[in-house]
Amino acid sequence: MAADGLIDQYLTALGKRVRSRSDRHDLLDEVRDHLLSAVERLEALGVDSPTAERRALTRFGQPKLVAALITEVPSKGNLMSLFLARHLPAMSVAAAVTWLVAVAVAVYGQTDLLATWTPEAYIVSSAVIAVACVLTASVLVGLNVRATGELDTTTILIALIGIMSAVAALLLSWFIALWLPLLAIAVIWTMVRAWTMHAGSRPFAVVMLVTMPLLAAAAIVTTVIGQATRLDNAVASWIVFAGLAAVLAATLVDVAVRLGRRATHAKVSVAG
Amino acid sequence: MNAESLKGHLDLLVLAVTSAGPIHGYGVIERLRERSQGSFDLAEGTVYPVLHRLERAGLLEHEWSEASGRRRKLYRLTPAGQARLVEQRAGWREFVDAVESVLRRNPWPQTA
Repeated sequence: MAADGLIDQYLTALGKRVRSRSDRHDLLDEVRDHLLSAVERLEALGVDSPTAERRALTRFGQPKLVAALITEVPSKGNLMSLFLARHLPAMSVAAAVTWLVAVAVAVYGQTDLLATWTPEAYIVSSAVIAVACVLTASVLVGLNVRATGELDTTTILIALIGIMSAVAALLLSWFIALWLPLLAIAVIWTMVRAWTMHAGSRPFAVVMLVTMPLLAAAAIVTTVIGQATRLDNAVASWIVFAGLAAVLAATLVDVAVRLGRRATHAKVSVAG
Repeated sequence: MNAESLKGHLDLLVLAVTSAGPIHGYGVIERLRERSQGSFDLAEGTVYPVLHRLERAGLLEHEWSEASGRRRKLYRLTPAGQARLVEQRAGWREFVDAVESVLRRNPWPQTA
């Protein structure tokens, strides 16, 4: 039957978008029942079956938009993960802005470039970087929860690594060989896991997967050279840090824009 | 009917519709359409995030059944959902009454 063909295609497309969710089969069964109920109703009204199928699918909405809305709600997890999954765009924007602020503050708090370094500026700079790490970790948790539908062990591990990077940044922000690679690990891990859910654009995901290991390596090399040669590596560290902040901020904005746009497109539409 | 204005009341409408007994997502949409004489005609996929969110909040619960040879997910109100419905319904009545009484004092067309 032609109608079954179209509906199966739709379910396959939707299934790809919710691939990593643990409640995937239940979601697809629920949608299948809906679409077949709609077709049956239209057929009972005398509509021929290919038309009924097409109409049922049009009324349901594009797989991309429906998946984006459905993945806003985790199937399992606590209130915190529900909050993070639903407010992902806002959290991403907050994290991106904090990274940019952190770069500016670090000029004063970590280097002598524009003004003489002071302990006060250093403490402020460390705190801003730590906040940026926490916000980024929250976004990573939100992305994981949306992809899998629950707060699973891997997500908790990623969150812990993110928190560790924040603590390391707060205590030893100048020592980028520690906190920056930790954050990079959390980001890369999430990127690999969330690849299938298309949270951001593919090009950005590739950029992250390439630049994060490079930046982590650069952070370690800069620190090792600084220690070995006893040269002041503050400016070099700042440059590596600014690179990280720029890449993260761009990707976070990309995630926010894409998720936001999807949500707007998929808002309740009412006829008449 | 403005989409945004409906969106704000969708939780209340879905709770009201599910209070009549176990119902599947398609049934929720049909009942909304029928009871509103066609005014509330939803993009159908959007009802599922609402149902899932209300369930996560403990206001709905579900069970699976078999219908026409396929699995069907049926939702119904929990006691907490029932309480929320009573509360939101009262809030809505109050709001409508208040708007009504404001409108009555400014009969239209107004003569300046």
